[in-house]
Amino acid sequence: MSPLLTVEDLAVEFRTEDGVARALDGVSFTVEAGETVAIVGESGSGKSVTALTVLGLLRRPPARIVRGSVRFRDRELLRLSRDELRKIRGKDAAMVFQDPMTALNPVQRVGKQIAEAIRLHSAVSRQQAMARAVDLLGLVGMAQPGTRARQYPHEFSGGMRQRAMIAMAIANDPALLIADEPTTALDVTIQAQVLSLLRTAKQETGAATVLITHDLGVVAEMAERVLVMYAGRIVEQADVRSLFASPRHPYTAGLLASIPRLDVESQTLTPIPGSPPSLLAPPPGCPFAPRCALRQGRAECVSERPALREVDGHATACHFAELAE
Amino acid sequence: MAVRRFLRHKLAIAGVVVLLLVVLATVCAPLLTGHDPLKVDLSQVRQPPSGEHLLGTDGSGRDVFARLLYAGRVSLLVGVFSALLAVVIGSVLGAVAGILGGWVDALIMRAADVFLSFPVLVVMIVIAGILGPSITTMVIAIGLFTWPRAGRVVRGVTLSLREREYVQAAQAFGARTGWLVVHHVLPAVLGSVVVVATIAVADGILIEASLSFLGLGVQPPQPSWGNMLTDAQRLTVISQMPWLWIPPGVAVAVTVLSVNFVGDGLRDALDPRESS
Amino acid sequence: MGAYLVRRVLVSVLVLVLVSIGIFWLFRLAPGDPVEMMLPPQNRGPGSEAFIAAKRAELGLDEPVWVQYFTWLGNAVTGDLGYSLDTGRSVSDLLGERVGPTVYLMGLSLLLALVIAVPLGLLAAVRKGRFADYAASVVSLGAVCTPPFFLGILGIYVFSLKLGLLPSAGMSTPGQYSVGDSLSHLLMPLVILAFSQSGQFTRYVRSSVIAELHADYVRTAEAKGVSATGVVTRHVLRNALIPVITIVALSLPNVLAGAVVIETVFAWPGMGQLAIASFQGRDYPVIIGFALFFSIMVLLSNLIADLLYTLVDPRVSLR
Repeated sequence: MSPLLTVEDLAVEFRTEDGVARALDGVSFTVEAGETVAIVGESGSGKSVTALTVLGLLRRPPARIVRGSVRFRDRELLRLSRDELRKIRGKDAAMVFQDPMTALNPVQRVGKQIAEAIRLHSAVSRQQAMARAVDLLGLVGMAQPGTRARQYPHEFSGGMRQRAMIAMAIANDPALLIADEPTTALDVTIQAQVLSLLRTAKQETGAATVLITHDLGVVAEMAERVLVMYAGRIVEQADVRSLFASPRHPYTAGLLASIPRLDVESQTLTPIPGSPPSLLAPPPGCPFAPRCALRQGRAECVSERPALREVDGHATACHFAELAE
Repeated sequence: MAVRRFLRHKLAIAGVVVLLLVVLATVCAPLLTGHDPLKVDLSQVRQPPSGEHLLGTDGSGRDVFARLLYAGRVSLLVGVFSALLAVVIGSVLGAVAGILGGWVDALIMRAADVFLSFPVLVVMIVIAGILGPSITTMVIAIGLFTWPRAGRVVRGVTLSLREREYVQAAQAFGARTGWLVVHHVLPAVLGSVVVVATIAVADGILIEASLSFLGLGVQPPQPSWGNMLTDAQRLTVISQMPWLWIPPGVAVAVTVLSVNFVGDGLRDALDPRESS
Repeated sequence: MGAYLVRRVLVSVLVLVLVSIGIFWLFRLAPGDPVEMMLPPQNRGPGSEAFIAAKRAELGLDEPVWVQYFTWLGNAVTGDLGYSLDTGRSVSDLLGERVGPTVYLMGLSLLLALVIAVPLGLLAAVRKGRFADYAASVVSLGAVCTPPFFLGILGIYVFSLKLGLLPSAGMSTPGQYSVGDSLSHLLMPLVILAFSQSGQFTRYVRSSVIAELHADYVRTAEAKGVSATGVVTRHVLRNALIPVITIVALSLPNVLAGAVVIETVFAWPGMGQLAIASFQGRDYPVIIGFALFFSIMVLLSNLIADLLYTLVDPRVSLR
């Protein structure tokens, strides 16, 4: 059986005042039914653009899909009409966004917003949809869901809004749930609750989950498989244990070194020096070369772009992956 | 960068060209017509357009083309001076509100709301009705009741500026408010103020036209685009002498439109984020 | 809610007092003493001085300024705005009979302006940068830039004088009242006033909708599977109209100012026509009555704007 989601050689550009930015440059990955995949990387690495492209939510213009394919349940999403795509969005594939403060319509009652998601995809009455919305709010752990459903988003705390967003996303039992930085905007204590809720949601629906985050702690807790993105490309891909145990790309290694760890005595964090390259005029070689600790003046790194290749069960885009620690 | 963006704006360029032509025509009025806009000639009353009188003559036999050109001077000057006054008052009060904050800010902004909600036209009915109409009164009234637009813009920029580190540093070094305004606030708000001022000129010209049309502004025999239309309150003038009222009406519309195009172009050029 | 309202009303009253002081001060600046005007110098003889002094005392003009102000204010509050110098009728009566036609014209044109502006602004925003957007900009900019009285004159020229379709003046033809007749009188002033107002409104609606189209909740709605039309009608429109409603309420005084001009052009028997007539006749008491009435209306529309805002936006609660 083919995977639930197959993304192949996806390239996306943005037109800006200063020129064309290559936001995604040949991204390929798969997501199997029911698994949890994390996409990690710094902001601007293309994580969110990937998610938006999959669901057809990119604003075009300024974005333009240059090439590639997105197959979901054996249908090519990039070739679907708007209406066909709309029938999939919110039903088979749903999304949770980063900032729950702004992601809900401020002038519509929360219950109605959830009920709308239900009514768009199944022929139920207003009352039935509202009853289901109240059930969903209860399911995501909200006390007094009936009262809450009649309230406006501004009457909710950040964590509660994110719960409502999750309730909305799982309303139609999706097969794929994409969560774009679902905990970034929340307090640390609330983050744990929302993550556990995402796990519950997954158990309830059996949905494959794509978790986009820059927080490796979240990755370790949630994901089975990890994709590391840098400058619009996937630079490493591996199962979560092996990625944390032995990264095969210097960027991943750098990311891991920059996490504060409780179990190690060292007090010094080692952030990766430098900043990501401009997407307007990417360097010809490895985009990470200017910041790479492993490069040590090797000419290959600035002349030739490394392709993803298999090293120790990881896929890694580094000429010298064998040397990475 | 800004210049390039402005030049890309075709309507703005068209606006500049038209506006230059209008200004040039009014400034060079004596070169374009040999007629005196004030000279009454009762043998030549209400003549239709001809080679001698390009746009005909009015009820007192004055040349309409000459009046149109000289009227342009008055209308443009009223627009420019009232806009200047509005921008000066608005910038000063806006900067003060933004820098001092607190109750001063609250008071100034409240006053801005109140001033903005009284249309100049109505204010002028009262002032002109009691003190009698004059150009000076009109310019002052327009400036006094349109400053809040500039005030809000300047206050907004000043507030955002106050958060910047270098301004806070200057304040920490004991810089005085006046110094801050001259060295930091004015340069930062210049772009937005130019845009607001341009739109204010357009508004000033429109308000002048309405006021003078109603007899509240420029008084005859001095011509202005607004008061040239006053005669067109009589049906015979409207139906039989369109040369009396169509040219000044079109002149106002075209000039105001051009100024607005220039303003839009400037806004896009100086603040690309707000471009439409 | 109560406390908030009370505070807003108090502020409005304070502003009204300031405005009334301004008006009274202007009144005092008016050239000519009312008593002097009663008795032109050439008619004066022996005993005139005593007459003038007595008349001044009778009218309270020998009192200190602040006493005069409070006397005047007290009278104004009880509805006594004096008498027209022109017709001798009470100013409050004169104003009273003019309010109806003006409110009728203003209300309908405000409504029509919104009926034009909301769809046009929405269309321009959704089709941003395309033909419909440019067409809408041209129309709305034309409305903003053309003096309404010029449009009025143009309308009379075309529709009344050349085509003979519509009457050029008044609210009805004297002696032959009918619905059709009133409507034909209403049409031109209504459409022209509405059109001039719609320009500004269209631009506000457009920019407000464009701003909302970039909001995060729009993407959420799209992710739910809401269609492009549904996003606009069910989500964007209400959010976008919240600021517009306030602006419309705040623009009431401007609509009245526009009505002053249009009433003059079309001889519409409203407040505006009265104001211009009394300006031309230097009929001070009527002018001042008009000014007070107008100020109250301005402050009321500010209050209405505040109230409407709290009603349509669930995030704002009256404190």
